[in-house]
Amino acid sequence: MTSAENLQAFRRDGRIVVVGASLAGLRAAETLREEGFTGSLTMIGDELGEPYDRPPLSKQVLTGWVPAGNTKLPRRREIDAEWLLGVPADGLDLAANHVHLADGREVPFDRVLISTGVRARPWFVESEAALDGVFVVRTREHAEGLQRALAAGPSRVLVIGAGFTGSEIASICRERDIPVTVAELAPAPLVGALGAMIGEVAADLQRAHGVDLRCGVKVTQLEGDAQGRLRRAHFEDGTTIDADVAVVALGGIRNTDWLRSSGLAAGVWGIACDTGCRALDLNGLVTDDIFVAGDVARCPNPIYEYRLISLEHWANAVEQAGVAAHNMVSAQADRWPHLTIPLFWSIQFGVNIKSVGVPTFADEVVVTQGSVPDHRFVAAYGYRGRVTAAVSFNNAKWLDHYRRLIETAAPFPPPCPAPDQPADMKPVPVDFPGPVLLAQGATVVVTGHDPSERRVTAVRQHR
Amino acid sequence: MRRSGAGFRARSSQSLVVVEMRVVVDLSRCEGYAQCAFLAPDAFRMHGEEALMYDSNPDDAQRDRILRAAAACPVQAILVDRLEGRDAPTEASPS
Repeated sequence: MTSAENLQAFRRDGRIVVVGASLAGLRAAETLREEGFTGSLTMIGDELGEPYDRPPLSKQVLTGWVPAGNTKLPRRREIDAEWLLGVPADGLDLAANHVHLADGREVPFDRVLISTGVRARPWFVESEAALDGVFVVRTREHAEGLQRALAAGPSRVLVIGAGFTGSEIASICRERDIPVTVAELAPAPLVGALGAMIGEVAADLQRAHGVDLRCGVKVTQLEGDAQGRLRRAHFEDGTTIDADVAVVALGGIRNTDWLRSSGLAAGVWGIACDTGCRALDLNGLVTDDIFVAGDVARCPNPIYEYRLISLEHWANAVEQAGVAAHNMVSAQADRWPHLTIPLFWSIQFGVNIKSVGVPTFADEVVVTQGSVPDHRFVAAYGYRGRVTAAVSFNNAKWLDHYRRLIETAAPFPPPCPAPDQPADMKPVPVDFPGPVLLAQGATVVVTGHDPSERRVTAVRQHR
Repeated sequence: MRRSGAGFRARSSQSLVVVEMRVVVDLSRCEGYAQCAFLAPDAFRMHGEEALMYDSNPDDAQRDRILRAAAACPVQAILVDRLEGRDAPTEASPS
């Protein structure tokens, strides 16, 4: 049989398994059917219920407006799938081509899409994480529990971590008139994603809205009472703060543990893939039948020196899922590269914060339009004299302009495109926290000497 | 019943069954024109000058207004369900 005949047979009667039934998995499944795949489609997900949207969980769900169970995603079309929900996958066998489920079942496939996403990083002491009043926010059950705790009128909420999610939750607390303390290890909120200049603006924004913001501090212990309810938190400097709710917002952990012995290039950083969304194996060789999309994928981006970048962005999950699905049912010559310029948004303290590009891929930043004190401006990020990213505060209409500058490698600093040129347009160093704050550690070693025997081996991390 | 837990839910003390819509806004595309908040204020609300918050699963009673809001969006960022959850998984664990 020719490969064209093989592809036709696969498109007609093949078996595709999607592991991870959230936004990326659902959109991929819809694209597979849209592109004419008529074989069997199996959706595997560890959560029960229909695929739902997560961004509202830290926003309109926590305000009490939208019930946590009411963010189910709209469908673009029928997908005629078999849904295996409530049981996580715990292994992938590339020799036998099947997915292993935690309850012992084995699900065979011809091609598989991995879209297992991330989970919330829990508080590091299990007994303290289990205290009544300690939350993370990733699933609708999490959001529902926290919403109830906020509705009960806590005396104070402690938010640990001032990234986007932590800042959004602090904003909701203030909107609900609940006293809130935000504890952040870095020198300012959002600094790890957007740098020191925007971090300072974000800090002003929080304080102006009555947040007790404490930066450069570390929470070391969560203390409960005899009934197992959270009472106070201890800081590294020996001080304490009384709080009956704590939200641990320390980012996510990519769900790759189940792939540990699969032979794929999977680890804490995600699953490496090519721009066609095909997974790489441990040796960095591209696989044929394993595809990756969404938060768990780590994909090279040619605009950013072909660096492998993983993005926990809604729009990236949708776009990458579409490309992956298209490529799963297409011949090599018809495949598409996932060449996206990252786009991200956050809503907090009445401000719409959006970013385009990769702000961490920069050495300088400059306010190109608007006014920082009014919280309505755009800042452009540059790397070695070209525009690589932009961040807007209540100025989203301009971001598309900056996307084009990034795509065309326009010179940095760019001119102000509008009449609202700021008085001072001097670029400043972008100033991200050093690698000590961000380091992840080694995950592989190389063995063998002869080119025919050199191989990469995964290192188990002991943490 | 295949549609239970998917497109229907019981509301309030009356045993009235209401179909809910599914809505998602691509907020990476949204530029805050606020047309939707004007046309379907029960489902779309502005938070500050430019940020949008919305009800993802509003009552079907709002369908006309929401479809009008989706059509009026200058950047076409609003996606409304095309099939009311007919292809949904059951809420129970699969066998």
